Amino acid sequence: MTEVDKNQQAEQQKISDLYATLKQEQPTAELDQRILDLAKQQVASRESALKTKAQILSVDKRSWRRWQWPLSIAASILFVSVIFIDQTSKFMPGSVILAPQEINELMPDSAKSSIARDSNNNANLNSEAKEQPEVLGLSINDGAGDELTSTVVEDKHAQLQGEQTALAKQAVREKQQLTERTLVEKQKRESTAVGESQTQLVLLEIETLQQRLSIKQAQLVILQQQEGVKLRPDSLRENNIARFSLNTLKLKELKTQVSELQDTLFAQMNAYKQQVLDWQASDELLSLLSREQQQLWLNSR
Amino acid sequence: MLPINNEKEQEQETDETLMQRYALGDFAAFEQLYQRHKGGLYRYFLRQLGNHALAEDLFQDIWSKVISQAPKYQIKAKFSTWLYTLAQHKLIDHIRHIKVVERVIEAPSSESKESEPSWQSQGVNELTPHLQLEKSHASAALKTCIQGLPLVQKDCFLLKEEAGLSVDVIAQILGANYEACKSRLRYAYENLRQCISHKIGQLTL
Repeated sequence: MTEVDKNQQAEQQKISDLYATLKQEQPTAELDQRILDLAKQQVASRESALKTKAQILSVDKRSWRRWQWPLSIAASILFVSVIFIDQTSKFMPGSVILAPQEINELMPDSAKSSIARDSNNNANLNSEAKEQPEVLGLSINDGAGDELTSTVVEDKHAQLQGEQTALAKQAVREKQQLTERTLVEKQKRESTAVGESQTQLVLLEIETLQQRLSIKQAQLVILQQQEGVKLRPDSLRENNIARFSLNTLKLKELKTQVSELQDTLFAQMNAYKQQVLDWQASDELLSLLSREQQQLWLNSR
Repeated sequence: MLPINNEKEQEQETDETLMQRYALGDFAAFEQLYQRHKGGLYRYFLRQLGNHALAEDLFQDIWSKVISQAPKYQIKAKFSTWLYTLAQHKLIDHIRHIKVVERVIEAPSSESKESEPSWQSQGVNELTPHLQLEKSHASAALKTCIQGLPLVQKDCFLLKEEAGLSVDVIAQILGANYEACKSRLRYAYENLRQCISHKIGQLTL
Protein backbone atom coordinates (compact mmCIF):
# COMPACT_ATOMS: atom_id res chain seq x y z
CA MET A 1 0.00 0.00 0.00
CA THR A 2 1.44 3.34 -1.05
CA GLU A 3 1.58 6.49 1.06
CA VAL A 4 -1.14 8.08 -1.03
CA ASP A 5 -3.40 5.12 -0.47
CA LYS A 6 -2.73 5.27 3.25
CA ASN A 7 -3.62 8.96 3.37
CA GLN A 8 -6.72 8.32 1.32
CA GLN A 9 -7.79 5.55 3.65
CA ALA A 10 -7.24 7.78 6.66
CA GLU A 11 -9.36 10.55 5.12
CA GLN A 12 -12.10 8.02 4.32
CA GLN A 13 -11.98 6.74 7.87
CA LYS A 14 -12.37 10.30 9.20
CA ILE A 15 -15.48 10.78 7.08
CA SER A 16 -16.82 7.40 8.15
CA ASP A 17 -16.29 8.38 11.78
CA LEU A 18 -18.00 11.68 11.21
CA TYR A 19 -20.87 9.88 9.50
CA ALA A 20 -21.20 7.60 12.50
CA THR A 21 -21.73 10.65 14.73
CA LEU A 22 -24.73 11.73 12.68
CA LYS A 23 -28.13 11.37 14.22
CA GLN A 24 -29.35 7.81 13.83
CA GLU A 25 -32.83 8.42 12.47
CA GLN A 26 -35.32 5.60 12.90
CA PRO A 27 -38.72 4.96 11.39
CA THR A 28 -41.60 6.03 13.59
CA ALA A 29 -43.11 3.62 16.07
CA GLU A 30 -46.36 3.79 14.17
CA LEU A 31 -44.63 2.66 10.97
CA ASP A 32 -42.87 -0.13 12.86
CA GLN A 33 -46.18 -1.34 14.24
CA ARG A 34 -47.80 -1.21 10.82
CA ILE A 35 -45.08 -3.36 9.27
CA LEU A 36 -45.04 -5.84 12.15
CA ASP A 37 -48.83 -6.16 11.99
CA LEU A 38 -48.61 -6.85 8.31
CA ALA A 39 -46.01 -9.56 8.91
CA LYS A 40 -48.14 -11.13 11.64
CA GLN A 41 -51.22 -11.06 9.44
CA GLN A 42 -49.32 -12.76 6.65
CA VAL A 43 -48.19 -15.56 8.98
CA ALA A 44 -51.74 -16.10 10.21
CA SER A 45 -53.23 -16.24 6.72
CA ARG A 46 -50.48 -18.59 5.55
CA GLU A 47 -51.11 -20.90 8.50
CA SER A 48 -54.84 -21.00 7.89
CA ALA A 49 -54.29 -21.71 4.21
CA LEU A 50 -51.90 -24.53 5.08
CA LYS A 51 -54.38 -25.96 7.59
CA THR A 52 -57.19 -25.94 5.06
CA LYS A 53 -54.99 -27.58 2.49
CA ALA A 54 -53.86 -30.22 4.98
CA GLN A 55 -57.46 -30.91 5.99
CA ILE A 56 -58.53 -31.35 2.38
CA LEU A 57 -55.61 -33.66 1.74
CA SER A 58 -56.25 -35.72 4.86
CA VAL A 59 -59.97 -36.10 4.05
CA ASP A 60 -59.13 -37.26 0.54
CA LYS A 61 -56.54 -39.65 1.86
CA ARG A 62 -58.84 -41.10 4.52
CA SER A 63 -61.74 -41.77 2.18
CA TRP A 64 -59.47 -43.50 -0.30
CA ARG A 65 -57.64 -45.53 2.36
CA ARG A 66 -60.93 -46.78 3.82
CA TRP A 67 -61.95 -48.47 0.57
CA GLN A 68 -58.51 -49.39 -0.71
CA TRP A 69 -58.34 -53.01 0.50
CA PRO A 70 -61.99 -54.08 0.07
CA LEU A 71 -62.01 -52.69 -3.46
CA SER A 72 -58.74 -54.33 -4.46
CA ILE A 73 -59.81 -57.72 -3.02
CA ALA A 74 -63.19 -57.55 -4.76
CA ALA A 75 -61.53 -56.65 -8.05
CA SER A 76 -59.08 -59.55 -7.73
CA ILE A 77 -61.83 -62.08 -6.98
CA LEU A 78 -63.90 -60.84 -9.89
CA PHE A 79 -60.93 -61.07 -12.23
CA VAL A 80 -60.04 -64.64 -11.21
CA SER A 81 -63.71 -65.73 -11.46
CA VAL A 82 -64.11 -64.32 -14.95
CA ILE A 83 -60.94 -66.07 -16.14
CA PHE A 84 -61.99 -69.39 -14.54
CA ILE A 85 -65.49 -69.33 -16.06
CA ASP A 86 -64.15 -68.36 -19.45
CA GLN A 87 -61.55 -71.14 -19.49
CA THR A 88 -63.97 -73.78 -18.20
CA SER A 89 -66.50 -73.06 -20.95
CA LYS A 90 -63.72 -73.22 -23.54
CA PHE A 91 -62.17 -76.55 -22.55
CA MET A 92 -65.19 -78.54 -21.24
CA PRO A 93 -67.89 -78.18 -23.92
CA GLY A 94 -71.11 -80.01 -23.13
CA SER A 95 -69.54 -82.87 -21.19
CA VAL A 96 -71.78 -84.79 -18.82
CA ILE A 97 -70.29 -85.16 -15.39
CA LEU A 98 -72.23 -87.53 -13.23
CA ALA A 99 -71.97 -87.71 -9.49
CA PRO A 100 -71.22 -91.16 -8.01
CA GLN A 101 -74.74 -91.33 -6.63
CA GLU A 102 -76.23 -90.58 -10.06
CA ILE A 103 -74.05 -93.25 -11.68
CA ASN A 104 -75.25 -95.75 -9.13
CA GLU A 105 -78.85 -94.86 -9.86
CA LEU A 106 -78.40 -95.13 -13.62
CA MET A 107 -76.38 -98.34 -13.40
CA PRO A 108 -78.23 -101.55 -14.47
CA ASP A 109 -78.76 -104.29 -11.91
CA SER A 110 -76.30 -106.64 -13.60
CA ALA A 111 -73.51 -104.09 -13.28
CA LYS A 112 -74.38 -103.44 -9.66
CA SER A 113 -74.29 -107.16 -8.88
CA SER A 114 -70.96 -107.56 -10.65
CA ILE A 115 -69.43 -104.73 -8.65
CA ALA A 116 -70.78 -106.24 -5.46
CA ARG A 117 -69.32 -109.55 -6.47
CA ASP A 118 -65.95 -107.91 -7.03
CA SER A 119 -65.87 -106.47 -3.58
CA ASN A 120 -66.83 -109.79 -2.06
CA ASN A 121 -64.16 -111.55 -4.01
CA ASN A 122 -61.57 -109.09 -2.81
CA ALA A 123 -62.63 -109.54 0.74
CA ASN A 124 -62.48 -113.33 0.54
CA LEU A 125 -59.30 -113.48 -1.47
CA ASN A 126 -56.87 -113.91 1.42
CA SER A 127 -59.02 -116.31 3.32
CA GLU A 128 -59.55 -118.43 0.21
CA ALA A 129 -55.86 -118.43 -0.45
CA LYS A 130 -55.28 -119.79 3.00
CA GLU A 131 -58.03 -122.33 2.66
CA GLN A 132 -56.99 -123.65 -0.77
CA PRO A 133 -54.13 -125.84 0.32
CA GLU A 134 -56.40 -127.55 2.78
CA VAL A 135 -59.02 -128.07 0.10
CA LEU A 136 -56.38 -129.61 -2.12
CA GLY A 137 -55.30 -131.88 0.67
CA LEU A 138 -52.07 -130.16 1.46
CA SER A 139 -50.85 -129.05 4.82
CA ILE A 140 -49.48 -125.62 5.39
CA ASN A 141 -46.96 -126.95 7.78
CA ASP A 142 -45.76 -129.50 5.29
CA GLY A 143 -42.27 -128.29 4.32
CA ALA A 144 -42.10 -130.26 1.02
CA GLY A 145 -45.44 -128.91 -0.16
CA ASP A 146 -44.62 -125.26 0.51
CA GLU A 147 -43.56 -124.52 -3.03
CA LEU A 148 -46.54 -126.26 -4.58
CA THR A 149 -48.88 -124.50 -2.20
CA SER A 150 -47.55 -121.10 -3.15
CA THR A 151 -47.85 -121.92 -6.89
CA VAL A 152 -51.48 -122.99 -6.53
CA VAL A 153 -52.25 -119.88 -4.50
CA GLU A 154 -50.64 -117.68 -7.13
CA ASP A 155 -52.61 -119.40 -9.93
CA LYS A 156 -55.83 -118.96 -8.07
CA HIS A 157 -54.96 -115.36 -7.37
CA ALA A 158 -54.23 -114.65 -11.04
CA GLN A 159 -57.47 -116.34 -12.07
CA LEU A 160 -59.45 -114.23 -9.66
CA GLN A 161 -57.68 -111.08 -10.80
CA GLY A 162 -58.53 -111.92 -14.43
CA GLU A 163 -62.16 -112.43 -13.53
CA GLN A 164 -62.19 -109.18 -11.61
CA THR A 165 -60.64 -107.30 -14.51
CA ALA A 166 -63.19 -108.75 -16.93
CA LEU A 167 -66.04 -107.83 -14.61
CA ALA A 168 -64.67 -104.33 -14.11
CA LYS A 169 -64.34 -103.88 -17.86
CA GLN A 170 -67.90 -105.07 -18.35
CA ALA A 171 -69.11 -102.64 -15.69
CA VAL A 172 -67.29 -99.76 -17.33
CA ARG A 173 -68.73 -100.73 -20.73
CA GLU A 174 -72.23 -100.86 -19.30
CA LYS A 175 -71.71 -97.48 -17.68
CA GLN A 176 -70.56 -95.97 -20.96
CA GLN A 177 -73.51 -97.48 -22.81
CA LEU A 178 -75.85 -96.09 -20.21
CA THR A 179 -74.35 -92.63 -20.49
CA GLU A 180 -74.56 -92.73 -24.26
CA ARG A 181 -78.18 -93.85 -24.08
CA THR A 182 -78.97 -90.99 -21.71
CA LEU A 183 -77.35 -88.50 -24.06
CA VAL A 184 -79.19 -89.89 -27.11
CA GLU A 185 -82.50 -89.65 -25.27
CA LYS A 186 -81.73 -86.10 -24.27
CA GLN A 187 -80.89 -85.17 -27.86
CA LYS A 188 -84.07 -86.87 -29.04
CA ARG A 189 -86.11 -84.91 -26.56
CA GLU A 190 -84.50 -81.71 -27.71
CA SER A 191 -85.00 -82.52 -31.40
CA THR A 192 -88.62 -83.46 -30.72
CA ALA A 193 -89.14 -80.10 -29.09
CA VAL A 194 -87.63 -78.41 -32.13
CA GLY A 195 -89.74 -80.53 -34.47
CA GLU A 196 -92.87 -79.67 -32.51
CA SER A 197 -92.17 -75.99 -32.80
CA GLN A 198 -91.54 -76.41 -36.53
CA THR A 199 -94.79 -78.33 -36.87
CA GLN A 200 -96.61 -75.55 -35.08
CA LEU A 201 -95.15 -73.06 -37.51
CA VAL A 202 -96.21 -75.16 -40.52
CA LEU A 203 -99.69 -75.45 -39.09
CA LEU A 204 -99.88 -71.71 -38.61
CA GLU A 205 -98.69 -71.24 -42.15
CA ILE A 206 -101.39 -73.60 -43.39
CA GLU A 207 -104.04 -71.69 -41.45
CA THR A 208 -102.87 -68.39 -42.90
CA LEU A 209 -102.84 -69.83 -46.40
CA GLN A 210 -106.30 -71.24 -45.83
CA GLN A 211 -107.65 -67.82 -44.89
CA ARG A 212 -105.98 -66.06 -47.78
CA LEU A 213 -107.17 -68.72 -50.21
CA SER A 214 -110.75 -68.49 -48.93
CA ILE A 215 -110.74 -64.75 -49.47
CA LYS A 216 -109.27 -65.01 -52.94
CA GLN A 217 -111.71 -67.69 -53.94
CA ALA A 218 -114.60 -65.61 -52.69
CA GLN A 219 -113.32 -62.65 -54.70
CA LEU A 220 -113.00 -64.91 -57.70
CA VAL A 221 -116.57 -66.10 -57.38
CA ILE A 222 -117.87 -62.51 -57.09
CA LEU A 223 -115.90 -61.39 -60.11
CA GLN A 224 -117.08 -64.35 -62.14
CA GLN A 225 -120.67 -63.51 -61.25
CA GLN A 226 -120.12 -59.91 -62.33
CA GLU A 227 -118.63 -61.11 -65.58
CA GLY A 228 -121.68 -63.29 -66.12
CA VAL A 229 -123.90 -60.21 -65.77
CA LYS A 230 -121.81 -58.16 -68.14
CA LEU A 231 -121.80 -60.83 -70.80
CA ARG A 232 -125.53 -60.40 -71.35
CA PRO A 233 -126.39 -59.03 -74.87
CA ASP A 234 -127.96 -55.82 -73.56
CA SER A 235 -124.87 -54.91 -71.71
CA LEU A 236 -122.61 -55.11 -74.74
CA ARG A 237 -122.20 -51.46 -75.27
CA GLU A 238 -119.17 -49.54 -76.32
CA ASN A 239 -118.70 -47.76 -73.03
CA ASN A 240 -118.61 -51.13 -71.22
CA ILE A 241 -115.88 -52.61 -73.39
CA ALA A 242 -113.02 -51.00 -71.49
CA ARG A 243 -114.34 -52.08 -68.11
CA PHE A 244 -114.90 -55.54 -69.46
CA SER A 245 -111.28 -55.95 -70.54
CA LEU A 246 -110.12 -54.59 -67.16
CA ASN A 247 -112.23 -57.07 -65.24
CA THR A 248 -110.91 -59.87 -67.41
CA LEU A 249 -107.39 -58.93 -66.46
CA LYS A 250 -108.32 -58.84 -62.81
CA LEU A 251 -109.96 -62.21 -63.11
CA LYS A 252 -106.87 -63.71 -64.66
CA GLU A 253 -104.64 -62.26 -62.00
CA LEU A 254 -106.89 -63.52 -59.25
CA LYS A 255 -106.95 -66.99 -60.75
CA THR A 256 -103.18 -67.04 -60.87
CA GLN A 257 -102.98 -65.94 -57.26
CA VAL A 258 -105.47 -68.63 -56.21
CA SER A 259 -103.50 -71.25 -58.10
CA GLU A 260 -100.24 -70.18 -56.47
CA LEU A 261 -101.78 -70.22 -53.04
CA GLN A 262 -103.23 -73.69 -53.65
CA ASP A 263 -99.78 -74.97 -54.62
CA THR A 264 -98.18 -73.47 -51.54
CA LEU A 265 -100.91 -74.85 -49.29
CA PHE A 266 -100.59 -78.29 -50.80
CA ALA A 267 -96.84 -78.24 -50.29
CA GLN A 268 -97.23 -77.15 -46.66
CA MET A 269 -99.83 -79.83 -46.02
CA ASN A 270 -97.50 -82.48 -47.39
CA ALA A 271 -94.67 -81.18 -45.23
CA TYR A 272 -96.85 -81.24 -42.15
CA LYS A 273 -98.03 -84.75 -42.91
CA GLN A 274 -94.44 -85.96 -43.01
CA GLN A 275 -93.93 -84.62 -39.52
CA VAL A 276 -97.26 -85.73 -38.09
CA LEU A 277 -97.97 -89.03 -39.79
CA ASP A 278 -101.49 -89.54 -38.43
CA TRP A 279 -102.65 -86.03 -39.34
CA GLN A 280 -106.03 -85.79 -41.08
CA ALA A 281 -106.75 -82.67 -43.10
CA SER A 282 -110.22 -81.23 -42.57
CA ASP A 283 -112.78 -81.24 -45.39
CA GLU A 284 -112.83 -77.48 -45.31
CA LEU A 285 -109.10 -77.39 -46.00
CA LEU A 286 -109.32 -79.99 -48.72
CA SER A 287 -112.11 -78.05 -50.43
CA LEU A 288 -109.71 -75.15 -50.95
CA LEU A 289 -107.39 -77.29 -53.05
CA SER A 290 -107.83 -77.95 -56.76
CA ARG A 291 -109.47 -81.19 -57.83
CA GLU A 292 -106.21 -82.71 -58.94
CA GLN A 293 -104.59 -81.87 -55.62
CA GLN A 294 -107.54 -83.29 -53.74
CA GLN A 295 -107.22 -86.51 -55.70
CA LEU A 296 -103.50 -86.72 -55.03
CA TRP A 297 -104.00 -86.11 -51.31
CA LEU A 298 -106.64 -88.82 -51.05
CA ASN A 299 -104.47 -91.27 -52.98
CA SER A 300 -101.46 -90.59 -50.82
CA ARG A 301 -103.51 -91.29 -47.69
CA MET B 1 -26.73 -21.10 31.71
CA LEU B 2 -29.25 -22.32 29.20
CA PRO B 3 -31.06 -19.00 28.62
CA ILE B 4 -27.74 -17.27 28.06
CA ASN B 5 -26.79 -19.89 25.48
CA ASN B 6 -30.12 -19.44 23.74
CA GLU B 7 -29.63 -15.71 23.60
CA LYS B 8 -26.20 -16.19 22.12
CA GLU B 9 -27.59 -18.60 19.56
CA GLN B 10 -30.25 -16.09 18.63
CA GLU B 11 -27.65 -13.39 18.22
CA GLN B 12 -25.52 -15.64 16.07
CA GLU B 13 -28.40 -16.60 13.87
CA THR B 14 -27.90 -15.26 10.37
CA ASP B 15 -30.37 -13.07 8.55
CA GLU B 16 -30.98 -15.85 6.09
CA THR B 17 -31.93 -18.34 8.81
CA LEU B 18 -34.27 -15.80 10.36
CA MET B 19 -35.91 -15.21 7.01
CA GLN B 20 -36.40 -18.95 6.50
CA ARG B 21 -37.88 -19.28 9.96
CA TYR B 22 -40.29 -16.48 9.18
CA ALA B 23 -41.23 -18.19 5.92
CA LEU B 24 -42.19 -21.22 8.03
CA GLY B 25 -44.42 -19.04 10.19
CA ASP B 26 -42.12 -17.84 12.98
CA PHE B 27 -43.14 -14.24 13.58
CA ALA B 28 -40.45 -13.68 16.24
CA ALA B 29 -37.79 -14.31 13.59
CA PHE B 30 -39.21 -11.52 11.47
CA GLU B 31 -39.23 -9.15 14.42
CA GLN B 32 -35.56 -9.87 15.02
CA LEU B 33 -34.74 -9.38 11.35
CA TYR B 34 -36.68 -6.14 11.24
CA GLN B 35 -34.89 -4.77 14.28
CA ARG B 36 -31.55 -5.53 12.66
CA HIS B 37 -32.19 -3.74 9.39
CA LYS B 38 -34.88 -1.12 9.94
CA GLY B 39 -32.49 1.73 10.88
CA GLY B 40 -30.04 1.26 8.05
CA LEU B 41 -32.69 0.89 5.41
CA TYR B 42 -34.68 3.84 6.67
CA ARG B 43 -31.65 6.09 6.72
CA TYR B 44 -30.64 4.84 3.25
CA PHE B 45 -33.92 6.20 1.88
CA LEU B 46 -33.86 9.30 4.05
CA ARG B 47 -30.35 10.34 3.03
CA GLN B 48 -31.12 9.64 -0.61
CA LEU B 49 -34.37 11.58 -0.74
CA GLY B 50 -34.00 14.03 2.16
CA ASN B 51 -37.67 13.64 2.95
CA HIS B 52 -39.12 11.72 5.89
CA ALA B 53 -42.52 11.06 4.34
CA LEU B 54 -41.06 9.73 1.09
CA ALA B 55 -38.49 7.68 2.97
CA GLU B 56 -41.25 6.11 5.10
CA ASP B 57 -43.31 5.28 2.02
CA LEU B 58 -40.49 3.52 0.26
CA PHE B 59 -39.37 1.87 3.49
CA GLN B 60 -42.83 0.36 4.02
CA ASP B 61 -43.02 -0.77 0.40
CA ILE B 62 -39.78 -2.67 0.74
CA TRP B 63 -40.80 -4.44 3.94
CA SER B 64 -44.16 -5.34 2.40
CA LYS B 65 -42.31 -6.91 -0.46
CA VAL B 66 -40.06 -8.83 1.94
CA ILE B 67 -43.13 -10.13 3.79
CA SER B 68 -45.01 -11.18 0.67
CA GLN B 69 -41.99 -12.87 -0.89
CA ALA B 70 -40.95 -14.73 2.24
CA PRO B 71 -42.52 -18.08 1.20
CA LYS B 72 -40.52 -18.01 -2.04
CA TYR B 73 -37.30 -16.90 -0.39
CA GLN B 74 -34.24 -18.99 -1.28
CA ILE B 75 -30.74 -18.45 0.00
CA LYS B 76 -28.89 -17.37 -3.13
CA ALA B 77 -27.14 -14.38 -1.59
CA LYS B 78 -26.95 -12.57 1.73
CA PHE B 79 -30.25 -11.23 3.00
CA SER B 80 -28.85 -7.71 3.21
CA THR B 81 -27.77 -7.88 -0.45
CA TRP B 82 -31.28 -8.90 -1.45
CA LEU B 83 -32.86 -6.25 0.80
CA TYR B 84 -30.74 -3.38 -0.50
CA THR B 85 -31.14 -4.55 -4.11
CA LEU B 86 -34.90 -4.25 -3.64
CA ALA B 87 -34.39 -0.84 -2.01
CA GLN B 88 -32.13 0.43 -4.77
CA HIS B 89 -34.56 -0.68 -7.51
CA LYS B 90 -37.38 0.95 -5.62
CA LEU B 91 -35.45 4.14 -5.30
CA ILE B 92 -34.57 4.24 -9.00
CA ASP B 93 -38.21 3.59 -9.91
CA HIS B 94 -39.29 6.37 -7.60
CA ILE B 95 -36.78 8.81 -8.96
CA ARG B 96 -37.76 7.98 -12.51
CA HIS B 97 -41.37 8.36 -11.59
CA ILE B 98 -41.04 11.84 -10.23
CA LYS B 99 -38.66 12.79 -13.06
CA VAL B 100 -36.00 13.85 -10.67
CA VAL B 101 -33.75 11.47 -12.53
CA GLU B 102 -33.54 14.01 -15.33
CA ARG B 103 -32.01 16.52 -13.00
CA VAL B 104 -29.85 14.19 -10.95
CA ILE B 105 -28.74 11.20 -13.06
CA GLU B 106 -28.25 12.66 -16.55
CA ALA B 107 -25.56 15.13 -15.51
CA PRO B 108 -23.02 12.67 -14.02
CA SER B 109 -23.16 10.12 -16.85
CA SER B 110 -19.37 9.76 -17.08
CA GLU B 111 -16.77 9.24 -14.38
CA SER B 112 -15.31 12.73 -14.98
CA LYS B 113 -18.69 14.27 -14.46
CA GLU B 114 -19.36 11.98 -11.49
CA SER B 115 -16.37 13.48 -9.79
CA GLU B 116 -17.87 16.93 -10.07
CA PRO B 117 -20.22 17.32 -7.16
CA SER B 118 -23.23 19.64 -7.27
CA TRP B 119 -22.20 21.52 -4.15
CA GLN B 120 -19.35 23.12 -6.16
CA SER B 121 -21.95 25.31 -7.81
CA GLN B 122 -23.27 26.40 -4.46
CA GLY B 123 -21.88 29.60 -3.04
CA VAL B 124 -19.44 29.17 -0.20
CA ASN B 125 -20.84 32.25 1.42
CA GLU B 126 -24.07 30.39 2.12
CA LEU B 127 -22.53 28.96 5.27
CA THR B 128 -21.94 31.30 8.10
CA PRO B 129 -18.39 31.44 9.52
CA HIS B 130 -19.40 30.32 12.98
CA LEU B 131 -20.89 27.07 11.54
CA GLN B 132 -17.62 26.37 9.81
CA LEU B 133 -15.80 26.66 13.04
CA GLU B 134 -18.19 24.77 15.22
CA LYS B 135 -17.16 21.17 15.61
CA SER B 136 -20.72 20.16 16.33
CA HIS B 137 -21.77 21.51 12.99
CA ALA B 138 -19.42 19.24 11.08
CA SER B 139 -21.99 16.52 10.91
CA ALA B 140 -24.57 18.99 9.60
CA ALA B 141 -22.10 19.90 6.88
CA LEU B 142 -21.64 16.25 6.09
CA LYS B 143 -25.39 15.82 5.73
CA THR B 144 -25.55 18.73 3.35
CA CYS B 145 -22.59 17.42 1.42
CA ILE B 146 -24.16 13.96 1.11
CA GLN B 147 -27.25 15.58 -0.35
CA GLY B 148 -25.05 17.31 -2.91
CA LEU B 149 -23.33 14.12 -4.09
CA PRO B 150 -24.21 12.65 -7.49
CA LEU B 151 -26.73 9.80 -7.15
CA VAL B 152 -24.37 6.97 -8.10
CA GLN B 153 -21.74 8.15 -5.60
CA LYS B 154 -24.36 8.68 -2.93
CA ASP B 155 -25.66 5.15 -3.55
CA CYS B 156 -22.22 3.66 -3.10
CA PHE B 157 -21.45 5.76 -0.05
CA LEU B 158 -24.75 5.05 1.76
CA LEU B 159 -24.65 1.35 0.98
CA LYS B 160 -21.19 1.20 2.47
CA GLU B 161 -21.85 3.34 5.53
CA GLU B 162 -25.44 2.38 6.35
CA ALA B 163 -25.59 -1.26 5.31
CA GLY B 164 -21.90 -1.96 5.90
CA LEU B 165 -21.63 -3.74 2.56
CA SER B 166 -18.36 -4.51 0.81
CA VAL B 167 -17.47 -3.03 -2.57
CA ASP B 168 -18.20 -6.21 -4.50
CA VAL B 169 -21.65 -6.56 -2.92
CA ILE B 170 -22.40 -2.90 -3.68
CA ALA B 171 -21.31 -3.49 -7.26
CA GLN B 172 -23.65 -6.48 -7.40
CA ILE B 173 -26.57 -4.42 -6.07
CA LEU B 174 -25.97 -1.54 -8.43
CA GLY B 175 -25.31 -3.76 -11.39
CA ALA B 176 -21.92 -2.17 -11.96
CA ASN B 177 -18.47 -3.74 -12.15
CA TYR B 178 -16.17 -3.82 -9.16
CA GLU B 179 -13.67 -1.24 -10.43
CA ALA B 180 -16.34 1.30 -11.38
CA CYS B 181 -17.93 0.91 -8.00
CA LYS B 182 -14.62 1.29 -6.19
CA SER B 183 -13.91 4.41 -8.21
CA ARG B 184 -17.32 5.88 -7.42
CA LEU B 185 -16.77 5.27 -3.75
CA ARG B 186 -13.36 6.94 -3.85
CA TYR B 187 -14.81 9.96 -5.61
CA ALA B 188 -17.66 10.09 -3.11
CA TYR B 189 -15.25 10.28 -0.15
CA GLU B 190 -13.07 12.80 -1.93
CA ASN B 191 -16.02 15.02 -2.80
CA LEU B 192 -17.33 14.85 0.72
CA ARG B 193 -13.94 15.79 2.12
CA GLN B 194 -13.67 18.76 -0.22
CA CYS B 195 -17.25 19.81 0.49
CA ILE B 196 -16.75 19.73 4.25
CA SER B 197 -13.46 21.63 3.90
CA HIS B 198 -15.28 24.26 1.91
CA LYS B 199 -17.92 24.53 4.57
CA ILE B 200 -16.01 24.21 7.81
CA GLY B 201 -12.37 24.34 6.77
CA GLN B 202 -9.88 21.51 7.23
CA LEU B 203 -11.50 18.32 8.49
CA THR B 204 -9.71 17.71 11.74
CA LEU B 205 -12.27 15.62 13.54
